[in-house]
Amino acid sequence: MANEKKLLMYKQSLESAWGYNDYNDWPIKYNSIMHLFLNNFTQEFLHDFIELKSKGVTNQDIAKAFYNPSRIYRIIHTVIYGMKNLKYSALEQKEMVIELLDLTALMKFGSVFNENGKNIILNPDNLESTLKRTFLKADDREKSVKLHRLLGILWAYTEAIFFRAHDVTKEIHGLYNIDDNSLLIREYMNLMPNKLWNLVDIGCNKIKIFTKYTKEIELNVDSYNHLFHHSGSLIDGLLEYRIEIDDNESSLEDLIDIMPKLSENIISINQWAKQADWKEKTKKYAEIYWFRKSPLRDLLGMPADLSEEVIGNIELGQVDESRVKNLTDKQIKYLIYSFI
Amino acid sequence: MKEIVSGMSVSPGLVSSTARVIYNMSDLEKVKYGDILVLPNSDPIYAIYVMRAAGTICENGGRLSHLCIVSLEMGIPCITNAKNARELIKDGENIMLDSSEGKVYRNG
Repeated sequence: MANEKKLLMYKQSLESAWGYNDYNDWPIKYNSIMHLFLNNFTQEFLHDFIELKSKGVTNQDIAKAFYNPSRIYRIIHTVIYGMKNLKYSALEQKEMVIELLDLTALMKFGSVFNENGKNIILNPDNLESTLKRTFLKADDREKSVKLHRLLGILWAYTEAIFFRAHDVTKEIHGLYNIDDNSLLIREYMNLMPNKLWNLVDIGCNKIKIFTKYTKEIELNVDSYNHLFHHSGSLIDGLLEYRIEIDDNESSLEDLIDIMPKLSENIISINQWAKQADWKEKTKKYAEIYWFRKSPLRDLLGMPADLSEEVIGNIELGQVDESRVKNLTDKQIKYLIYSFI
Repeated sequence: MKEIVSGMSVSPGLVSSTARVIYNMSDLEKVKYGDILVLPNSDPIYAIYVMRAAGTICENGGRLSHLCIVSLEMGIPCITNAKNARELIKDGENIMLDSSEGKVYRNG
C-alpha cells in the first residue's frame, strides 16, 4: 500500500475511534495533564527507537518485544503529538507514522487497519493446526452468563490498572472462521504490574479466552482494538470456549476463583483514585506510559523508570484547564486532519 | 407503552425489569440481580455492580466508555448517551430496554 494511502487510512481510523467522543476522565482527564510528560516520553521513545536501529536491532525484534499490535498502533498518535510539540517537521512526523504502522503490520497476518472488521493476527489458513486445542461446550446457558460476566470484569481490571493505556494488557483478535462459526480470542497479559501497583496477587500474569460464537452474532474489531457488537446475543450465541491461564488449559471454575482478587484490586485502585491528588494521578499516568514503551528500554538493557526531570515537571506543573472539557465532534475532526 | 428516553445502541437486546437509578456509590448497594441500571459513565468500580444487572442505560459517554464496553463484554443489553435518563426514569419503576433500537419504554 502506498504511504499516502496508509496515512489517510490511519487518519480515518482515528476518526472512527475518537468519533465516539469517549470521556477519558478517569482517574483524571488525560488531555489536561499529558503536557507534563509528553515531550520527555516522545524524546525517549525516538531516542530508543533510533538507538536500537543503529545497533542493528530489526523491526521484527522490536515487534516481538511489544508482543501485541495494539500496543504499537495505539501509541502512534501520542508519539506524533509529542513530535509536533517538539517541532519535528511534517515529513518527519509522517515518516514516523509509516514506520510504526509497518511495525504494527509485522505483528499481524491481516490488515493493520482492520478494514473488514477483523483483527487477524493468526494465519487463518493454518488456524486449525495452530489451535489444535480442546474446546469446552457451552451447553449450559449459566456457564455462558458466568464467562461473559468474567470477561466484563477482566476488561474493567485492565482499565483500572493501565487507565487508557490498557492496550499494554490486552489484545482482542479475530473473528476467525472456524467450523463455519466465528472464533474470537481475548488475550490478557501483564496482569500483575508490580512496578506500578501494590496489588493483591491474582496468581497469574496471562489469561487467554477463546470464544466460538454462531456466525449469526455480528461483531467487529476496529484498528484501535475496540470490540463492537451489532446483533445477536453473545450469551446465547456462545457455542464453545477455552480458557488458558499462564498458558495452561484451565476451567471456568479456575477463572471464577481469580475474580474476587480482580475485584479487590479494582476497588483498591478506585479508592486510591478517590484520595490521590492530581499530581499523584499524573505521576501514575506517566509511570504507565513509561511501562508502555518499556520494551524499547528492555531491548537496550536500560532501566525504564521515570526521569527526575519528568517528576520535577509534574511537581512544578499545572493542570491545563483549557483541556479539561470534552472536545466537540468538529474539534475532534479538525484535530485528526490537522495533526499530521 | 410510552417511550421515556432514547440513546445510542451499544450492546443489542431486549429486556424488561425494575429500573435502579444510580446517583452515588451507596445507591449501588440497592442493586438486585436482574435490575436495569440507569447511571452515569464513571469509574471501573461500577463494573462490579453491572455484573448483577439485566441491562444498563448510561446517561452520558460514548460507545467506548468504561461501562459500555464492560456491558458489551458481559453480554448485557446497553445504551449510552441517554440524555437526562436519571431524571426521566423513576427509581423502582418497571421499564423495557430495547437496546437494539436504543429506546427505553415504561411498562404498563
